[in-house]
Amino acid sequence: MKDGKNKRLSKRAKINRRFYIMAAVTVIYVVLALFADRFAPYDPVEADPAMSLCPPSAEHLFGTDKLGRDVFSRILCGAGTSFTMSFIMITFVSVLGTSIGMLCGYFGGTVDTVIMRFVDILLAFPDTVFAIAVAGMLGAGVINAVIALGLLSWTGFARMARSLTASIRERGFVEQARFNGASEVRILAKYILPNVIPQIVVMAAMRVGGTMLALASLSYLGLASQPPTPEWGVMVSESRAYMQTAPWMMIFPGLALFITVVVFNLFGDSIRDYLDIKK
Amino acid sequence: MNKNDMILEVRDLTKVFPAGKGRTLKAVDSISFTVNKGECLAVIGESGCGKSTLARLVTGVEKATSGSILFMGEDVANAGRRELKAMRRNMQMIFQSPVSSVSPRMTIGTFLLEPYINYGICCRQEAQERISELLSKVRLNDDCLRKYPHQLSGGELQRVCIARAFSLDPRLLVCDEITSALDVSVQDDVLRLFHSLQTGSGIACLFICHDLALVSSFSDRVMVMYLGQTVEIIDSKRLGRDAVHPYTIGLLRSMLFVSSDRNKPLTAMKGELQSPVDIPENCHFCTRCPYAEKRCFLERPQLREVETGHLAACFRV
Ligand SMILES: Nc1ncnc2c1ncn2[C@@H]1O[C@H](COP(=O)(O)OP(=O)(O)OP(=O)(O)O)[C@@H](O)[C@H]1O
Ligand code: SF4
Ligand SMILES: [Mg+2]
Repeated sequence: MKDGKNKRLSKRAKINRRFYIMAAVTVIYVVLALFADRFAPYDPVEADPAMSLCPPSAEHLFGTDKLGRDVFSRILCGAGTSFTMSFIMITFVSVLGTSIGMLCGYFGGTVDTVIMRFVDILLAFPDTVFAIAVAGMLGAGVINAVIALGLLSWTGFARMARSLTASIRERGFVEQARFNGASEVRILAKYILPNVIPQIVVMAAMRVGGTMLALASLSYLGLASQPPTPEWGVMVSESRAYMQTAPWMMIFPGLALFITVVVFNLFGDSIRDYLDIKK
Repeated sequence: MNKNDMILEVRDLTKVFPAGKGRTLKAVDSISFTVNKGECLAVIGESGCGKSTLARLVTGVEKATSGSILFMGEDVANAGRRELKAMRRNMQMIFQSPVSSVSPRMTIGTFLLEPYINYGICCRQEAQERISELLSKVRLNDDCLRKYPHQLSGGELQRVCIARAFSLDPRLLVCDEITSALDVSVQDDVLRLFHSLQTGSGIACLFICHDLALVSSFSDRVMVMYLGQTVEIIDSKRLGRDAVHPYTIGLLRSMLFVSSDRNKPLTAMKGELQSPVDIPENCHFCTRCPYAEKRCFLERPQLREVETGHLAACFRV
């Protein structure tokens, strides 16, 4: 009995520790991304033809590109816009998607069916294809790319919130809530929402990384950020011609993307455990 | 019986569920009964006989197929959302599983405060005092107010639910097997606590249970159900001596022979249970009744008064 309790306690402690570590890592990441110009050793857009295609060295940690720009500085500065955009978009879209999903899941009916069919249709589009269509209509650019991704990604939140709500609605405590005299609005806000939010937060945290990756792919295709903006997708795209001679131009932005996705996924994962009160 | 003494009057209540392929399942089949002020009516019957469905109908959680339910003179069966909310001020329910009755992300304190807030009973301060008082009545202390449901044991949580049910001081309590989800060791404890609160408060009670021995010591009257039908309604005190329906008698016998293990299913009867799907209009007990005759398979016996206040549905009485 006592042993069991100790084990549980230490498990909780482990979960908390992991969460704090991941939160710290994420905070460091975000600070680096947002204040990159303070940390970057060089100007990310200033060309220096004399230093063209230098391999990584003490002076240029990640080497330089064709125009002699410092890859390390460009990578640092490339995260900021992408992160801010993704973060704002995901915040907006998760609130919207969750509200729509919860209403659909709770009240059901024709409106629910119509909205969910619409969601199915949206989900049938690969996001790149969709973004190309939006770029075709609104023109290429970061904002338009973010809008295109946002138009698709609310569906994930809506679906998740809907299915959670539909199953929570059938649980005993919702029936009990009616005996507590709770109105439908109150049931949604006080009984269902707290049980939906943890999953949504986890999903949102993970989606930030995913969206940054998607933005990079769109930039790679020339649909979001344009050269000479320091942006990872743009950088990978520019590096194609030098894959053999200057692989660092491609490896480091790729690595940055990889780390981004991993950081946000791990962070999301640690939030999931942290918010699970039963653990 | 004086009409004014009645708190709940159920007449010809029927609930039919679709059972697939156009077939139907009569979970509750033309049941009529009354509950008087301050009285505890026990409903007993084996698993699947429609007890929970009956409770859900009476409390308006589920809509009846036909029949009427009058609670304090008001129609439950056709009540809208608003009317139900008003009615539930006076009609509370305690569910079988306490664990699923409280939102996992709500503290016990918030949970207990809910009825006071939603019904605008009193200010927060006074509500807190009343809650503390209630908690001490169910032998819990104020520490549990800050806890989440998973931090309490099943028995403690069910006592919280009992406290909540009493918090509005209702006129009728519907209890659906409130102890069967609990550990055997605490069942008695919780039941005795509930019983003392109920008798002390004078709140009428529809008490669903599947333990005849327990129920007869506990309630004023007993209603025995079999596959959706009422087979007998009798005073608890007279149950042992005067029961006339073969099913009730069978139950009483099995109670004598089988050690009173509360979690043992209530089936000591020989013979096959009729399939509840598309069940014919007969005495549903005919397949197991030792006295069954031809008529029992073809016709349904009506509930008849054997003596005052004692009703049974059997052709032999
Ligand atoms: N929503 C439903 N849809 C279809 N059939 C149902 C539904 N609810 C209950 N039933 C059926 O109605 C019958 C009565 O069910 P009910 O839950 O009322 O039984 P019970 O007496 O409470 O049993 P137990 O003692 O096991 O709780 C069962 O045969 C069950 O399968
Ligand atoms: S009506 Fe017939 S089958 Fe039903 S209990 Fe009476 S004797 Fe038995
Ligand atoms: Mg039941």
